[in-house]
Amino acid sequence: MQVSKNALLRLLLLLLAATMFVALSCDDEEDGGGTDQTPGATSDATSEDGDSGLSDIPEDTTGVTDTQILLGTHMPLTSEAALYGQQIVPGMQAYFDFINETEGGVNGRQIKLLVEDDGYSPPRTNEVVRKLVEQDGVFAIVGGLGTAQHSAVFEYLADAKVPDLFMATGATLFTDPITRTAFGFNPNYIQEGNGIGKYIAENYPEAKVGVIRQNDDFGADGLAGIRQAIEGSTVEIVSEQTYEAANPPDLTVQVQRLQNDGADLVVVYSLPRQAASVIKVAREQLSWDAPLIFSGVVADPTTIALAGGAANADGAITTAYLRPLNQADDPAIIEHQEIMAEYQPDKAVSNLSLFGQSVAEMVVETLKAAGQDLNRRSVIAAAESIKGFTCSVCLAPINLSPTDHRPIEAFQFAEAEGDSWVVFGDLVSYESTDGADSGDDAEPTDDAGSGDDTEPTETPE
Amino acid sequence: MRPSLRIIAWIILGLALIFFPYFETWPGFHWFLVHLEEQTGINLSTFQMTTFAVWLVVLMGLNLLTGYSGQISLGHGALVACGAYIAAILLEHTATPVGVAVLVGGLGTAVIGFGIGIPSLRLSGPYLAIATLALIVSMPQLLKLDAISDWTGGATGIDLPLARAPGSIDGLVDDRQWLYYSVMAPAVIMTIIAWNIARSPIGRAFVAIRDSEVGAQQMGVNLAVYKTLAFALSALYAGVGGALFAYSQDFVSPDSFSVFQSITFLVAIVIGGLGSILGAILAAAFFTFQSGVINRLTELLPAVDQLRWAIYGGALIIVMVFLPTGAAGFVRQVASGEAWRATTARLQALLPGSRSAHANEATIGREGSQQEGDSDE
Repeated sequence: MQVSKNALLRLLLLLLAATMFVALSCDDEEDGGGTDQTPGATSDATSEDGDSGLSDIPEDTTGVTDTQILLGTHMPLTSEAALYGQQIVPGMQAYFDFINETEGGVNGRQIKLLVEDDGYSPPRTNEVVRKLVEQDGVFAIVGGLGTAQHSAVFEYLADAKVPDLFMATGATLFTDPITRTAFGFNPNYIQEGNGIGKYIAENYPEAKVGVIRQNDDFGADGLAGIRQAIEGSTVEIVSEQTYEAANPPDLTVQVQRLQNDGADLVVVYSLPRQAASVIKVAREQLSWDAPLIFSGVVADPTTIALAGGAANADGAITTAYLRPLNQADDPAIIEHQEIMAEYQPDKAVSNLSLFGQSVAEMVVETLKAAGQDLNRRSVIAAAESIKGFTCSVCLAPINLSPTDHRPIEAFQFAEAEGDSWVVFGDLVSYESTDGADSGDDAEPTDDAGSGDDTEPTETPE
Repeated sequence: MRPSLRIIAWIILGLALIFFPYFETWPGFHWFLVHLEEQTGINLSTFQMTTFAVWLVVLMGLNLLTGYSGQISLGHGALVACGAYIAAILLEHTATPVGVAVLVGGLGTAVIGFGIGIPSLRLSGPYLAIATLALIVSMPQLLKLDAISDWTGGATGIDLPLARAPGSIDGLVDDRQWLYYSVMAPAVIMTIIAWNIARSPIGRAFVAIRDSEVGAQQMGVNLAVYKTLAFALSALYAGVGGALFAYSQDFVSPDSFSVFQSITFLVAIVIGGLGSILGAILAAAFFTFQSGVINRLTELLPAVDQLRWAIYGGALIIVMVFLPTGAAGFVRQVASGEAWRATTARLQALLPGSRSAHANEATIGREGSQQEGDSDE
């Protein structure tokens, strides 16, 4: 083994040499790396400043010309989450095209949206968003989807001072603490969980709750909200099961465990396919008739279809923050269908396309508010000044401020009926902008279970 | 190739790597980049090349393990995650310089790899593949454990500060170019080391084990030692790659590493070329640019995305049958003018009634079929 000893020695020497080189080449990094807290620190500092303090956002007009505004987004168009991108993107595109054609764009500028597929993979999101910003030169990123995916680029965008408008995630970490250039969109899951918890405490005061949740921030936030709401009540959580989003969406084991643990009401924080599995397993395999309550992310007819249709899904409860698609006589829904038929005729109308339109409407409203003098600073100021704007497909007015970057802060409960979800009860609002005309008060109000009121309740002004 | 030509080729390659971040400011090259991206979905931006360097390190290590020593790791992503998390935790919670964090990430992962390797390598057969597969499947849950979530950040992951050029050379390179150099330099060093290992007695021992364990033992190769060494080495590469990944992405989360990613690693090195340094480089190119190309193809033909794994599976079979040495072997055959003869010989060998192909081709073919079976799981 003389030979291999030599070889080992040589290998060690080489490794040592490499080590020194790597250490050398990166050692100076400490200066750069040491001051790394800067982005976070700045955002903290600016959030304390109150309404001004936008001065560190440059009046950058990248992506804006006299005739065009270039926007970018990252969405999963391929992979297991492709459904999201494939249906949300047409909704956004159709509405932008609609505005471009009927109103000549915003302030004479046509809106152009560049869509990059991130395959629902955070490293890929990083690549495509850098491409959008550095190569395509977009003015802003709008509606970026996915919590982990957006996490990968959140700091990059904040640091480059690129407006990060209305990201399609409800995770609280993006809007608390406030980053001046970043705005959420979806209702945040803690607040939603809070509403669900209160609903349970009111309607099922003796409930033994079993929770199934995705093992990530989405599920953890939802559960935290529920716990907050049921504290001090007679409702108790008897079992908590988790699943991994990356695994096949079969939750038989989790549902079985909840039943064994003596749960008599089930709350589920999952994506549509997993939700469908829960419904199917409970109703078909276990003949278990416990009430099922789901996070609003499943509020799409697809979930009911996947769960085996009305026979299984009837009576399941979820939350909705957009106008229900099944209201055929709702002018907003009719308009959405017309816009889709005109500009994206091959694409299906769904809750996701409706969601796409709601994001696009928020973007258009913000760009309009920024006025003729559009730049990265003015667009942030414009977004923070939005008060009492109700997008055509939303249930409640949207209020933003320098201390509130969460647009949608109200929802209604909805129940599966036939092949769609039907909203009922009053609007549950938790508006955090003070003095905004969001509703009668800022506290969650829930008076649900008051029959099948299919008309979306108008918000009291 | 004549030695002088070879040296010139190396110098050109070196200069190309050094000046790459500046190419895109040249109008002609910029035009080329834009059109390449539009036509093929291949995006040759500076950041994309940085990503390429990251995967180059990881795949170089996997190729040492699979291509040279003939062992299969189905969950190499778990080792990459180890390196990424070790480096990210050091960078986030301590004032460790990046260079040190990358080294600790690599060495720490090598130790972990050694620990996993000892039990599974003492058994023969596919136990290492199974152990690593178990590792990658269980990794998200492990990273999300409450007990360590103060360190790992749980499901949220760790959001690192952006990589910045040090103040002293601020005017010369911007942050993007700095990132490129600080990832590409270790990648080149690791490649040179791998090249030397492959031609050293250690590398020859790996190849001997791959071709015949009994034969290698007869020649005095200690199987357990060398198999564990191969795995620890490839874990070292995975760890360094992972640390560079964390540094360049400035973000790690359990979602950053999936089972499919690990399987794609294997697909990539088989297509790139097993047991060859050039193969690992081509594999890294394949791995880096495949999403873009698949994306472009999906625009033309929507079914491509659904069929992605079928396409990869098909590509694997075609490569194993017609090009057992992968794209790298093809490049070498073309360079030596033997591509046509070799391919026809291969076709003839497949025809019924013909003599079987000679020994070393059969060996590689056997390995390939084993991998195909694995990636179907």
